[in-house]
Amino acid sequence: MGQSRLLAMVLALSGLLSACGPSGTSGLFSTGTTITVLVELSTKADPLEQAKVEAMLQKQIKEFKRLNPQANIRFRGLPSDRLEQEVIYRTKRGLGPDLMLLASNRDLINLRQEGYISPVALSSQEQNSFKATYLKHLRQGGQQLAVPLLVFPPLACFDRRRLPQSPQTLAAIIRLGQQGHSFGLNSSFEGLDEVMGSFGVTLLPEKENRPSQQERMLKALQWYREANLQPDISFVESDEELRQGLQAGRFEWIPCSSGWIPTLQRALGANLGIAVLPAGPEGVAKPLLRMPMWAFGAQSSPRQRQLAKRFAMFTGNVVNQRSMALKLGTVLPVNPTIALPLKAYPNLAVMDAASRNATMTTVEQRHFLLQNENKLESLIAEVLAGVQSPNAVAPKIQSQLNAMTSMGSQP
Amino acid sequence: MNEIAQLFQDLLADLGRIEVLRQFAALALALGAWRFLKARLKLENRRWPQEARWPWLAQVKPLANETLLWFCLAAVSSWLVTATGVGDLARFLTRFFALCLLSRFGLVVLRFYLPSKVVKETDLRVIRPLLILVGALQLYSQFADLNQLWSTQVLHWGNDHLTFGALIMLVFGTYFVTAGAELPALVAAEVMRRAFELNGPNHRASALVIRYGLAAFGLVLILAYVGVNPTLLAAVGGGLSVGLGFGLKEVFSNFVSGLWLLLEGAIRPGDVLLLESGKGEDPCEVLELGMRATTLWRDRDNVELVVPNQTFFTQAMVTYSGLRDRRRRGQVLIGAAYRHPPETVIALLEATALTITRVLHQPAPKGLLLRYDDSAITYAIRYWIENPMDGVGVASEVGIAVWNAFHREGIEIPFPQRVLHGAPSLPGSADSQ
Repeated sequence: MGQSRLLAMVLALSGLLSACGPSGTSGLFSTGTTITVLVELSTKADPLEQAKVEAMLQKQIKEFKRLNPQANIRFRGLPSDRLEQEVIYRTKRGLGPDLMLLASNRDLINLRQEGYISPVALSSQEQNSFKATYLKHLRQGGQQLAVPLLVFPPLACFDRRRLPQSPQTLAAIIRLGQQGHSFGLNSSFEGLDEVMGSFGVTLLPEKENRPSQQERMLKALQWYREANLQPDISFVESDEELRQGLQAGRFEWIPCSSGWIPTLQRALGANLGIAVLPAGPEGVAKPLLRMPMWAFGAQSSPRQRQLAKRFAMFTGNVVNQRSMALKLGTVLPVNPTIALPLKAYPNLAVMDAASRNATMTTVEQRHFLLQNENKLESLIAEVLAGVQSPNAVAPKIQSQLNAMTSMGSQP
Repeated sequence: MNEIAQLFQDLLADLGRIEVLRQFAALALALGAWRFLKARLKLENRRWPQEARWPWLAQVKPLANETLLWFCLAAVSSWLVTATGVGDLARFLTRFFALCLLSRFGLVVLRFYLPSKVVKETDLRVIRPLLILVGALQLYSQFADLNQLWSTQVLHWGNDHLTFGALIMLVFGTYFVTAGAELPALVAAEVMRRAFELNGPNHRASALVIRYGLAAFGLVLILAYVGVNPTLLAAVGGGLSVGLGFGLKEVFSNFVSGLWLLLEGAIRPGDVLLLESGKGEDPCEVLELGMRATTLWRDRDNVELVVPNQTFFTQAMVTYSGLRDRRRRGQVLIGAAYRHPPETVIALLEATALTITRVLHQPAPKGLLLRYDDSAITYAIRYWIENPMDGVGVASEVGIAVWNAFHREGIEIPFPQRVLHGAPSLPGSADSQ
């Protein structure tokens, strides 16, 4: 019975600590506050880009700890497919993360419903550290579910040796494809949306269902079909295939993310060209903006929440945002007060232009999208495969969007 | 090592989280409830229904209070999970306690089939340390990434390094493989005994061979897991060869001799050997064939002799339990007077030997007339016994029985007699005068 007596003492002591500890106590065994930061390493992202972002975050943590010696930040990177598992595992044990850097395609509504994240309150001064539109897209029911860290604008990347200039329009892509230039396009949702956006169509539910939407969608699908008929225009399923295709010379032109630039530059050197995505008949392309965001854990004590918020705000301050943008050279700041030296950094200038046209998903749209992405993708895949004609698919997509919108999936 | 220190510091910080403390507090409540119930129910002291009918109930009775504690912990942790959704840490501790409890029940079952000494040794040497190690690692995995800790480099030399996991495997894995091989080896040997009808010594020898085989296999797996550089192994092997050539020669020789003897089956635990000592020959039973030496038991003075394996390997040994059988033939010599017919004496000797319990009836005792001595005819009564260790004791019993039989039948056991005849007196001597 000696063992049970020892167990009793340990448990009684912990019970005492639990009862007596102030709600703000975070680390009874350490003098400071400890927070756990999980960083999602997107499986779609470029490994080099991820390594750079991770190193930059480590540096930020180091700097933050230098200024806040009592703060202890545990940083851990996890692949996308393991992140949710880890969050669930930790939360069920009362060890939920205090701060999470999530990829832009995360379903925040779902995470909140499951009790893994909770909204953060930002003062008006704190809100000024972020572009209002970015914050707005991370809000649900007036509550801020996350705050942005950086922006990765979508671009067009091409090999200057084989293609001196990026095509300015979608029609030019088909024309150049007919002339033997090789193009790689993404058949995933993001890739579809890039093209659809150029036709003035969005696959996301909108508050107002414009009557001409279906007609524009039909044109976009017809372009898809035509592009797919060109032997030198290939549709691939992953970003990785696109990157490797350009590096290996299989493609001369691909849609890319600004985060891929270091990897592509390593392979192509000065021959790598970047440009804004080609425009469509309805105007400039409006692709989705990739924007990693900080979400806050639901099991943090007030002190941990305070520390997590302070760190998130620290990464969003003018000095750090500017420093990250200039040092990485592949991201744009989310802080509106920063004016980047665009003339001195031509890549940044292109990225800036691309970001102006890009669209963003609201948390509700993202929630909707993740639930219906497969259905929409499979319909368009049928067009690409020739199983169904654009004329047959366009109304189906539209009716599905309408049905989903009427079911309340949208804001 | 700094990384390890940081990981444990993080673990301590997590222990202080409010949700974690809440789970510990709930478990403390369960403990309080258990103490109350234990005092009320007095499970271990009261008489259980059917206790007389099922004797195994007495064996599990000492675990009743622990089982009750598990029920309390399980109830509280399940309630915690259902009510708050946060209680997997409490559930983990409950499950770990259940594992410990299950091991206790397992030991109770093992005691029915295996020697209690083996079960106790396995419990103390293997099961308890293993539970502590597994519990510590699993507890850590509740708070942090065990895989990360496992792959953390803790030792560096040159271009090589040793991870925490490799270190654990080297230290604890080696220990558990060597200490824990006994029980599975015994079980496997038992299966083999039943399947192939092995006798006692063969059964024990097979258990030892299986044990060494398991340990060797485990060690090879550990080395493969750790990723020992083959070049390094070759270098170590080279160095070891030199060491074996000088200082470790005897040790290695004894080890190899032991293995060889086991595989050959020349000497096995349970065998009876005739060991020459200064005072004659003593039968000794082989208790254990160790890595370096063999332990023998001599019943004459109840001592255990530790004999280097090499001795058996290089010297001729007399064994009673070799290839043929374990039976030993004993003999008692006795003299009977010349006037008794040899057929009568021999029949009496054979009949007398059969009256001794430990003398086998088959092969039957055999009486022999050995020779005509000065005072008596020397007879031998030869008999067989089952246990070679009983030689002296049975010889004594047979001797006493023969004396009693001779006394009863009036057969004389003569002592040496010398008849002196005086020489006749010569003429002219003083007497004649």
